[in-house]
Amino acid sequence: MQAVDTALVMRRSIFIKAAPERIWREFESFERMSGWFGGQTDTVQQRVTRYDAGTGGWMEIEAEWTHEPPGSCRLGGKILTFDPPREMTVEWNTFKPDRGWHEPTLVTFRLTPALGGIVVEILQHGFERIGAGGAQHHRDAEGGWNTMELEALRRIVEARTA
Amino acid sequence: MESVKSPLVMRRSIFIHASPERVWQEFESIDRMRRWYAGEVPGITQQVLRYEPVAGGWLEIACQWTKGTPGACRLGGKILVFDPGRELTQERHSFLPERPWREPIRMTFRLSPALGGTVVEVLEYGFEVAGEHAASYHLEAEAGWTMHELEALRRLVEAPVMTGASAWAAP
Repeated sequence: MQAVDTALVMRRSIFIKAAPERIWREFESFERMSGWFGGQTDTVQQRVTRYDAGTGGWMEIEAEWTHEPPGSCRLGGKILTFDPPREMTVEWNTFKPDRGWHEPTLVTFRLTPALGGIVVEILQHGFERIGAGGAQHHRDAEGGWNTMELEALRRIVEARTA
Repeated sequence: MESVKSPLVMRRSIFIHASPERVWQEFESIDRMRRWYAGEVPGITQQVLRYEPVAGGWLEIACQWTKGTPGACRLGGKILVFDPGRELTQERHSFLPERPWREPIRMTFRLSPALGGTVVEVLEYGFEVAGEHAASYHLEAEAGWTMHELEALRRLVEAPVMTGASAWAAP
């Protein structure tokens, strides 16, 4: 991961009692990725629309929400780092409702051994690359991300052995 | 801040368009602290019970919620670091609900200059004291922390004309 030398970062994390190789399997195909990164809460439905695993690949999602005002967005971009079973970093641009930032932010998934298992972190960073609106987009990220995806990943990994 | 070696950390952050010195004014007394760290949203009430803003001082809060299974909390402890404009670190005991372990975790507010303003981070860590419960305690923190307090702090600092007991309820 390129060094994050700023505090303007969104971070969510979870502990999963499993080997990193086991967790990484859930990053290896469109079907696996859809199994945990897609999902829904009372007000939001999210699905993975494209996932080509590998450096130079692509990840894209679509989210729809019903709370006021209802809307939808399309987010994602090129996979810059795909380093099994440690890190995946994806360019995180917005294709809808915006037409894309000139410089996208970055989303990093990082697996770190701890307490006999793994802490999985999701970090959104690079807001400075957007320019003047960077602080507002950081705020949207902090207000928008929850632990829905990470909790789904944990459930899948801890329930199945495959 | 003592260096955090474990990745088992909860973190939330916000950018505030003001200097760290201006943001820190809201950490300087219990009255100031109550304007953003206490408040009410539908289903949850939070109070600052005790705040002695000095190294060796004390910070303690109480909360009640009516959402889901109604419950209450009382959390707090000794202030370990009080470094104006930069950092407040405290021990965080859970007096309520009582936990099967006795050691406190840590909570840090950290202020860093960025983009001509300040990024304020809240970090909770040291969950390892809970032994086999460390992962679930960490998940409780990750799933439980909202942006209410930091958003209230931001509104207060960026709109200094606003008065009243709490900034929580504003949209």
